[in-house]
Amino acid sequence: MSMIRSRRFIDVLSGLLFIILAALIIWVAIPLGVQEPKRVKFVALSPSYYPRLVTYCLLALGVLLFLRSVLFPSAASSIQEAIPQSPSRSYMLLPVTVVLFALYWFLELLGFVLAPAIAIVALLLLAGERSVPAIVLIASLLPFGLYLFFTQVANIPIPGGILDPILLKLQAS
Amino acid sequence: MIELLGQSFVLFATIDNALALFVGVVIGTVVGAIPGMTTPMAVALALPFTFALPPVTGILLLLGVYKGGIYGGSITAILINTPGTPAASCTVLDGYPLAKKGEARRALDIALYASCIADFISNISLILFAGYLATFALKFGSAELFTLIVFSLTIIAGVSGDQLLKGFGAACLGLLLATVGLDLIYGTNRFVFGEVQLMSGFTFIPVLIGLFALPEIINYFVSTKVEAKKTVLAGTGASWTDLKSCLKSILRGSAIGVVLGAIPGIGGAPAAFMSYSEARRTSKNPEKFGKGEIEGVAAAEAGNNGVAGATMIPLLALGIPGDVITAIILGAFMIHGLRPGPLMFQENLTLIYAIFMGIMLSSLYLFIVGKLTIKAIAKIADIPKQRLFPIVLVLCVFGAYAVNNTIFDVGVMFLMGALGFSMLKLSIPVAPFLIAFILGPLLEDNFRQSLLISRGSYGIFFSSGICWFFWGLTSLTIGLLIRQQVRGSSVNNL
Repeated sequence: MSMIRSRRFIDVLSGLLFIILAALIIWVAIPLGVQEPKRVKFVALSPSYYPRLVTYCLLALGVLLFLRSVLFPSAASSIQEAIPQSPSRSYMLLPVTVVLFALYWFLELLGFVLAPAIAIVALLLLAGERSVPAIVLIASLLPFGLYLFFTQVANIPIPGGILDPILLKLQAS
Repeated sequence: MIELLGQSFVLFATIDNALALFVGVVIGTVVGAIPGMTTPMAVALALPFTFALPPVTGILLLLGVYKGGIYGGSITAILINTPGTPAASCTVLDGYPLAKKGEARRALDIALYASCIADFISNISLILFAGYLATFALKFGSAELFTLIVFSLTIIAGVSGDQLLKGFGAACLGLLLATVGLDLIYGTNRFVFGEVQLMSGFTFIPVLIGLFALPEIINYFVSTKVEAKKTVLAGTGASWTDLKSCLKSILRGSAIGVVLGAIPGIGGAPAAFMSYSEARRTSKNPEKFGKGEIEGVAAAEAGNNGVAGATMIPLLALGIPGDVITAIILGAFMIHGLRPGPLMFQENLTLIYAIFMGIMLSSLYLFIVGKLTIKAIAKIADIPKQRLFPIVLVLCVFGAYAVNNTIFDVGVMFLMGALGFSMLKLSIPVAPFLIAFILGPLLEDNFRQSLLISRGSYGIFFSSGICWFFWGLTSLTIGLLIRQQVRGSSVNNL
């Protein structure tokens, strides 16, 4: 079954998003996040001048997009026009996000071999892979191979986490 | 001059360089042949692997991926009616009907010959014109550079498709992201919010990988699986007569590719379609086009490959990326401590010539890879996506970490992935965001430098003929775009 999503709705949403973001940047992020020096030679040289200018452009674009989608839906994207979407499995978004978040969260503790290996197993299973040899091979060889490449060939230290003692021993031998 | 060429040859003629370029072409061809994997994604993922390499070797590897990717896109376009890259979408028109007739091998051969010839012509044009343009660009001051970058930002229109307003909105977000860190003039914090890691701003690679690779991975999981067609290589190869009959279209397509490629923002797909329509218009058998005409494949491939070398002209001569991939390659230059532009032609001419030599070799490699490994590549293209995307995720994690050896960058990558996925769902193009993020510091730097020189007067941006020239080009481009949009909406209303 193909899902139909109104392009106009997406345009309205995008316009609103630009407006909200611009408003937040102008009235919250710039006053709180940009340190102004005590004296500025010209207003245009102030550290907040350029970001403010760009944000006003974003605001104007957001307003234009919103107005165009609301007032003239046919100008760019007809209300009847719909984006045919492949039937979605949006319920998968939650488990995938959990796996990605867990991967980031445990990366330092478990290291770059074990954490990605666990994430690979989880993602392969979520993707519908059922071949155990394939899962074992990919999950074990890929992170370890990349670890070896970066540490031995590129000379970039990669944290091994709890496997560090074993990995260092392996490298030494 | 001869001494300079000799030094460049010594710099280029190493086994490492030759091997890196070859590996790059192979990786690019394979990735280009896998539907769902894009050439920018391949270049982004290959980038961290070049950190440990000397600049020439690293850049050549990435250029190999770029060139291989453009050709690779035609393989699945011909075999399974699925272009591996947007630029190969025109190749589908006649390539797939030929494959259905059992002449896949012939179509692939002609695609390869056209790609190699066009690539070679494009490379020659790069070598001939980049130097002249760079010499001219040496006259640019900060105001001229500012107007040039403003004009370059109109390339955003080219990568925004029919989402022009959203594309410019995304570009504003990219420009804002580029302001994070220490202020260029006063050294005060901007949007750092106490996070020390943000004082030097966001690192390019985690942003790049997050925007281009992660959304594709997440999207794979949330979209319903479509059973992929298996590739079938059938028939015999193309004959000399085939090549001879297509030569005119190949040469014309190459020229179209070179001209369109040198203009920032146009890219391979329009060049391919223009070359195709010209071939059809001038053909004795226009009715055969779209039904399996070998000349159609040749014209499309010549058009999109003719762009490859030419997009490097504005990149090397002016430091302005012509499309998303050259924007990534610009980032790669910067990571290796090089700043493409007119000054590079003064300070690193040996390196530029060494890169030129490598680029020339890439056409030959493309031919070798296409001829010898086509069967293997067609098989690799069948790799199940359920295995491919988890593998890509791990590459992303290692790639993001390896830049600064900090897990913070991995977090940035995931954050950018979430942003990229949201943009994908809202049909907001990601490419303008990245291009603006890369050009942002240069734009702001020249903007404020000019105002510093003029003591705050905006008149400096209109003070020279070059400034007026770029304002004229910018206005012309925007005017044409608005006209195009208005026309498009009129057609929609009919």
